[in-house]
Amino acid sequence: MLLNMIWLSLVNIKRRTLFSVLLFAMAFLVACSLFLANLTHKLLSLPDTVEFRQFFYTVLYSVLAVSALMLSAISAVSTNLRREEYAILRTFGAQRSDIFLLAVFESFFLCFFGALSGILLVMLLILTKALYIPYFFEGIMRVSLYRLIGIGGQAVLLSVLIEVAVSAVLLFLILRKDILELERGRL
Amino acid sequence: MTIKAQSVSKRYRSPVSKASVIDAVAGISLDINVGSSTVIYGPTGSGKTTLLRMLSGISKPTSGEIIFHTLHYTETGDRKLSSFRERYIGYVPQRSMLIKDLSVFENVISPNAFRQRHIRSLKSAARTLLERLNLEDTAQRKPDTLSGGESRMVMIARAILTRPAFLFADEPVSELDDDSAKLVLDLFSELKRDGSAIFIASHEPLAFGGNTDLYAIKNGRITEHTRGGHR
Repeated sequence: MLLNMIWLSLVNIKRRTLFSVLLFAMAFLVACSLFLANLTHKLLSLPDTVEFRQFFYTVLYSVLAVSALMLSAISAVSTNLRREEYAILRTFGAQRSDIFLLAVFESFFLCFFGALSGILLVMLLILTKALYIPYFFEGIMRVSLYRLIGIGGQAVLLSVLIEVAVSAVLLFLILRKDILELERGRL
Repeated sequence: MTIKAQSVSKRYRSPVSKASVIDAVAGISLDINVGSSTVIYGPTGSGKTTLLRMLSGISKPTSGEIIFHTLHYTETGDRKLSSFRERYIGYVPQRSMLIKDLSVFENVISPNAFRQRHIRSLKSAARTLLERLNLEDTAQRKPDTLSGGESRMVMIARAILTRPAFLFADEPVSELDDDSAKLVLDLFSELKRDGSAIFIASHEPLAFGGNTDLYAIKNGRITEHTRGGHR
């Protein structure tokens, strides 16, 4: 069952390249901006960094808001476009919970790896000084690894949660309908 | 194993006038036993598809009852009815119902992959079946590149992949050339020999595999019941 679900999820991700890339990219951006915002909060706490901090917060929270909104919108459109597919799966005996689980698997794969790769890239850019932010390089060296993993994990979790929550709400609305109504494409 | 329909009716609200109703199926009773073949034939709009969808557990009757073992369709919740379809029913719809983003191969496997079956055995069975139906060259194509006949063959492959106990096929050979139609009907006969029940809705009295129950339907009512021989 688990293997089947993983196979189905990966097939769906592979075959819906455009939506997969968009969701991956938005999860990447959400995680990057949240991770950097948390690091800013952690590392730029001295009084002489107030202006820097405010600038970073403005930029990062703007990026976070826009990318989270985009992630929700893309997820909503993608779920809505798949109503006929859900009708087909339901016709052949898939339970509502099966379809819900499939959507969670797909969201998890895309957003988890999108967010994770975003955080790893940010870390790499900071550590190689390719992304030079005053105090960051020195500060990040003083932060414990566990703390960094915690901050990163929070960012990954948020990305995954946004996508899963949006698709869950839409799926709930869509899958309330019976198969015939699903086929007719009414939400 | 038998599916029993007892005075089954289906009433719809008219799409033209909300006040009036249409009796798509009116008081039909019949039994479908494993190892049997049944063909219901009649003109467009006579209620074939509605009856077939009710018997296969996709929609419920407005009145009357359909029974399989201890399962009464009208009293059964969605979860149990879905499990029943997943376990016992193969369904070939009248119009093309394929997942447009997936390849033919993935379309054949996907709806069958939700539980109890190993993905490796499903893939192997799908390859064999697509070869048998001369569809091996289309396996990686998307549904929108297929002809009407090819789509129908893919839907047939999807429906019989797990060799269901009951196969409900709505106009399964309507868009097929003679050779493909023969191939499909031979496959249905083989399934019947192996113990599946085959139930076909068709425009014409299509008999196959010997001892086929032929029901004529008109305005939602059975008007004639005969037994046909080989095609």
